[in-house]
Amino acid sequence: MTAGSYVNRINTTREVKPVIAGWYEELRTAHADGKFLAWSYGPVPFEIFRAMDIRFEHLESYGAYLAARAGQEKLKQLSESDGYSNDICSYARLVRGVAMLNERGDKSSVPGVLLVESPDFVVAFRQCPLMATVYDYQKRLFNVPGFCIDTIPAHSEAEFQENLLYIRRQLEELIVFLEDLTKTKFDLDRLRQIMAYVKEAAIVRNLVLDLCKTSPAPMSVFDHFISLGPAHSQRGKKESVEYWKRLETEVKQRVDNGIGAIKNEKFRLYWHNLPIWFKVGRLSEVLARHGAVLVAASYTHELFYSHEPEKIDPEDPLTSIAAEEAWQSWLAADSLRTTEQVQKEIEDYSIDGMIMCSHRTCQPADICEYDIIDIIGRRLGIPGIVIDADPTDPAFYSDAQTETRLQAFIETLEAHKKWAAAS
Amino acid sequence: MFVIGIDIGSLATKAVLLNGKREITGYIVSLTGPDSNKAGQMAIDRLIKDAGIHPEQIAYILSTGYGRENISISNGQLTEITCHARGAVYIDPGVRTVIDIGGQDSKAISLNDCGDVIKFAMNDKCAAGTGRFLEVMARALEIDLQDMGELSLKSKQRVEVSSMCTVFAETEVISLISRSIDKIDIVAAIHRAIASRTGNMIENVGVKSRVMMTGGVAKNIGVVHALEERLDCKISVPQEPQIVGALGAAMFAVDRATDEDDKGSIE
Ligand code: SF4
Repeated sequence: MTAGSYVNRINTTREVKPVIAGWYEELRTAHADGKFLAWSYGPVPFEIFRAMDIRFEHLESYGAYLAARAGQEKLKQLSESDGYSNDICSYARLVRGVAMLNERGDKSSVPGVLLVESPDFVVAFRQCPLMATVYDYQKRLFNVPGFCIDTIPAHSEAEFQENLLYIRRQLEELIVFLEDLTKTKFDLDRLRQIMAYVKEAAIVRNLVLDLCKTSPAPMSVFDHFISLGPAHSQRGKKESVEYWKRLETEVKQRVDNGIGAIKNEKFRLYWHNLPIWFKVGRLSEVLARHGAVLVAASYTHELFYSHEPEKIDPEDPLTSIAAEEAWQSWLAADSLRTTEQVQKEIEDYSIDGMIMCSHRTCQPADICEYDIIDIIGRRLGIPGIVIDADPTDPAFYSDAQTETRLQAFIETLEAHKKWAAAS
Repeated sequence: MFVIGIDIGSLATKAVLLNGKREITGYIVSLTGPDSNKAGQMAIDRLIKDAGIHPEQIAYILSTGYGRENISISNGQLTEITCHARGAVYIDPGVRTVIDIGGQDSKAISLNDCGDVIKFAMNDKCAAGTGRFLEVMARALEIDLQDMGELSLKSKQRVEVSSMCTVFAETEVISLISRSIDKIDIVAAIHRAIASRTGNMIENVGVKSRVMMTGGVAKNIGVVHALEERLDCKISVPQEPQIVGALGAAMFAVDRATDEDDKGSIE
C-alpha cells in the first residue's frame, strides 16, 4: 500500500504496463517487421488475426490507451477540426486524430502518444452503429479493403442461436478474405491451439473473479480493469494463461490471509457500463476512502469469454468465437437479458449498491440505467446511482460532482445499514 | 459545548452555530470567493466572535458542500445531500421531499419516515436551472436578481423560453426583449423553464408530501410558484433556506461530539 492510500493494490497487475507498451510497439513497427496490420472496431475475432500472424489495432482498446496519455486533447481537437462533433464516441475521435497524423506523415507533433501505423485493411463487428460508420469512413479514407461482420440484435435463446450460426458463416468468409489479402493459407490447427489457450485463460480468469465473492474482496474491479490489458493483447497466447495463474495465486493468498483490496471494506458495489479510463486510479481511492469496494462489473464479468468458458471447444474454434460474439450482441441489444445478468452478479457477489455509469458519447450503451436500478431495487432492495461521465473525454466529467454523488450514495447506504440494524 | 456546521458552496458559504441542546445560537451567509478554505475560516471566526464565545468551546466542526474537503479546520465532512435532508427534517419532521437549488447545482432528495435519504438526484454538469442561470438571465434583462420573484407574479401574458441551455436561453431572452415582450412575462417564462427542467429531476426521485425547498433560489417566490404548478403540490420554504445544509451539518456535529462511536463514521 502506498503512503496515505486506502487501496491495497494487486502486485501482479504491475506487469501490465510493459505488456501494453510492447504490444503498441509491435503495432508501431508492424510494417517494418514485414507484417500485415489491421485496424478493427468492436468485438472482432482477434483469434483469427493471431492465427494468421496479422497484427491488429482495436478501436476501443487503443482509445482506452490513448485516454491516459497527455496528447489525447490534441488528438480530439484534430478530429473535431475534421468535422467530428464532440458528441461522437470519444474512442472514435481519438483514433481519428491518430489517422489524421498518419495521413500528414506527422510523427512528432503529439508527444507521448504512440502512433499506430495506417492499416492494410479494416475489420469491424456491426454491434454499435458508430463502429460500423467509423469502419466505413476509415475504409474509404485509407483506401483499403474491409470486412464488416454483421450481427442480429437477439432477444431470446433461439435468436441467439440463429445469430451464432450467422456470425459463424461470416467468420468463414472473413478467413477467405484474409487468405486472399495476405496470400497465406489459413492454419486451422493453429487456431485450435489459440482457442485452447483462450479457454484455459478464461477458466483461470473466472476462478479469480469467483475468489472476489469473499469478504473482504481480495481484488477490486479497478484491478480487473487493468487486467483487461493482457486479456486483450495476449488473448490466445500462453503468456495470458500464465498471467492469470500468477494473479490467481496472489489473490488466493490474499483470501487465505484475509487481505482486502481496500483497507476497510464496509460496502460492496457493482459497476455497470464501460470504465472511465482516465479516472481508474482516482475513483478507486475515492471509493476506498469511504470504505467502498467495487467487487463486480458488467464489463469485466460478462465479456472476454467469461460467460461459460468451459463450453469453448478448441476443436471447433469458429463456433466458440461466434458464440462469444453472439453473446456480446445479445447483451448489447436486450436490456432485460442484461438486467438478469446484473441481478445474478449482485446476488453472487453480495452487492450493497450499484453505480451506473452513463457515458455521454456512447449512446448505444447509455440506455436503461434507470430501468435497471428500478427493477433491481424492486426485486432485491438494492439501490443504485447514476453518474455522468465518458470513457475517455474529461470534458464530460467533473471530479467534484461525481465524487459528491458517490459519497452521498455511500452515506445513504450507511444510513440504511444503521436503520436496518436498529429495526 | 458548541458545534459548527459549515456548508461551502460554489457561490456562498453558510455556517450555523448550535449549542449542546441543538439550539441555533448564530448563523452567517457570506460569499465563498476563490479560496474556499479562507472563506470557511473567516465565516467560522466571525460566527464565534458574534456569539461571544471562545474557539476552545467548539467541540466539533462538520463541513459540507463542494468545498467540504478544502477546509483545514473541519473535524469531519458529509455531503450536502445528507446534510440538507437532516436540516430539513429538523425544521419540519414531516418533510419527505427536499428540493435544493443552489448557485451551481440543484438536487432532489426523497426521505423515508425516519428522515433517512432513500433516493436522490442531482443536475448534470451544466448549470441550467440553477442560481447561476438566474443570474445570467437577470443580467440579460437588466433587472435585479432579488426582484425577479415578485416581478414574475405580476405576469399577465404567457410567453415561452424553451431552451434550458444557459447560452441559448440568453439568446432567446434577448430576442424576446427585441420583440418588446414585457420583461415581467419573460421573467415568469424563465421561472417556468427552470421548473420544467428541475421538475423532471424531482419526479425521478418521486414527489411525496410534504415538500420543502431549500437553497438560495428558494428565496425566489416565482420559482417556488412555478415548481408548485409543475409538480402540482404545495412547497414550503423555511425562513432561511440557504442555511439548511449547514444546519444539518451542525446536527451531525452534535451527534459526533456527543457520541464517540459515531465520530469515525462516513468520513
Ligand atoms: S459508441 Fe459506445 S459502443 Fe460504440 S464504439 Fe463508441 S464506446 Fe463502443
